[in-house]
Amino acid sequence: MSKLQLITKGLIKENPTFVLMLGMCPTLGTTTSAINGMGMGIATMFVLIMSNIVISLVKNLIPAKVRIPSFIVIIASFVTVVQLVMQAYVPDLYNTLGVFIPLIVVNCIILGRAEAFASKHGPFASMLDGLGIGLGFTCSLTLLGMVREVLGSGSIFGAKFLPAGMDGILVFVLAPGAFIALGYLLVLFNKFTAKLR
Amino acid sequence: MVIVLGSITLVASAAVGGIYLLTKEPIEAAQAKKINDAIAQVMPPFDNVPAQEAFTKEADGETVKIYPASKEGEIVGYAIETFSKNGFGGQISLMVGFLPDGTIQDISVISHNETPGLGDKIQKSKSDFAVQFEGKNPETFKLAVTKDGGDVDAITASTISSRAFTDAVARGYNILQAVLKDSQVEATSGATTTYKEESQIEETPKQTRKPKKQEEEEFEFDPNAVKGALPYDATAGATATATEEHSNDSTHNTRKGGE
Repeated sequence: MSKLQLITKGLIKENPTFVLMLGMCPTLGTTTSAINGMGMGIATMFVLIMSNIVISLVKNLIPAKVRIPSFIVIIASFVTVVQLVMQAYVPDLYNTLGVFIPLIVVNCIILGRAEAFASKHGPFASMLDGLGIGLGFTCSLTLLGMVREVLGSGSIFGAKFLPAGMDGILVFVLAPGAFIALGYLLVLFNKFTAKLR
Repeated sequence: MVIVLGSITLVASAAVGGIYLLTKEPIEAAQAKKINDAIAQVMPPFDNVPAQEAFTKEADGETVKIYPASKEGEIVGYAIETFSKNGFGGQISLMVGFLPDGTIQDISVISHNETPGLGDKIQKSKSDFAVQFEGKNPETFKLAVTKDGGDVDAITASTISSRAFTDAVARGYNILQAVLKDSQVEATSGATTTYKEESQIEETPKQTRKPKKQEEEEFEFDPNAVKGALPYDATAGATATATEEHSNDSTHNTRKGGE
């Protein structure tokens, strides 16, 4: 697999949200607006890249029996770093994402990539893999957030386009709307990417 | 195996500790900035640093912070960091700015977990709900949603959030009443102390009265104004002045009480 493919596969062929269907909890929970989805995606991408690099570097030192606990410790450390940094520099986004930031620790995508890719490949390839999957996750979350924001609040990235006094279709901002929007996005994604895959 | 896992944990915790130390200051600064911005928004222009003069009060089992804002030594209002636990998504924290006579100057939402698109309209950026409180005095403006017989127009489809918001403002008003009462009592007792000091010992130069000639020329608070049994409303302004005048001991006293 070429280096470029490592990055692009995360966008379509192995898109974590629409194909692998991993990490659904933050996907549904945080995408009330495009910005929130993007913030969550970027935070996850950072953790994914860093943990992939570190795990691929120390993979030969870790005995198979304590593999999973070691991975979790490494991932959790990076999540704590992200949490502290976000709290310091983007407190508003941190408040909005709330509990979903610490929950990145248990995001299946990250442990999944550590187990399936980083523990078998070198640090550079693992970094690219983390970048690709992370980008795919960020794009999917931003897209879902955008759809929900446009339909639910009548705005794009916080800029309202509906005239004053008019509201969006509220259900799309609420939890049920997340499922509906995700379902339709899945349908469209599979229809348009069937040939590519 | 144990060694490997142990050393991984060690390295990881050391790294997290390092980052914690690095981000500690920016996090504190970010939180302080949020509070200061909220105070600046809800208070008329002031020239002191309210966060430095903040004191606390107990309300419903929680500690509430009160930030007095003053200009040229005169109290212009109190910013009260109040809360309600009855929000749709849990706790709502507000910064409510009261003028010394109890009028609500402005309200800023510090944190909330209300539903986006519904309850989050308590934020000024989302709807005009909070605007209806401005310039109202809870003495005449009943702090309850219209459904409950009050004067607050609730957000459509978000009665619970509106109720919680109103509840928080009402709690803030109760705290303000307690603060004003305290400061009135303290001002009066403070005035008495000053007189004693004058007649007996000259202790701290700050509290000692100046010679009478100067007193007449300078704009200074006359403790008799508070001592005189004027009706509450009429003394409201004077009370504020009194609080400022004796801000040194009143702050100390309140802090002692808080601890």
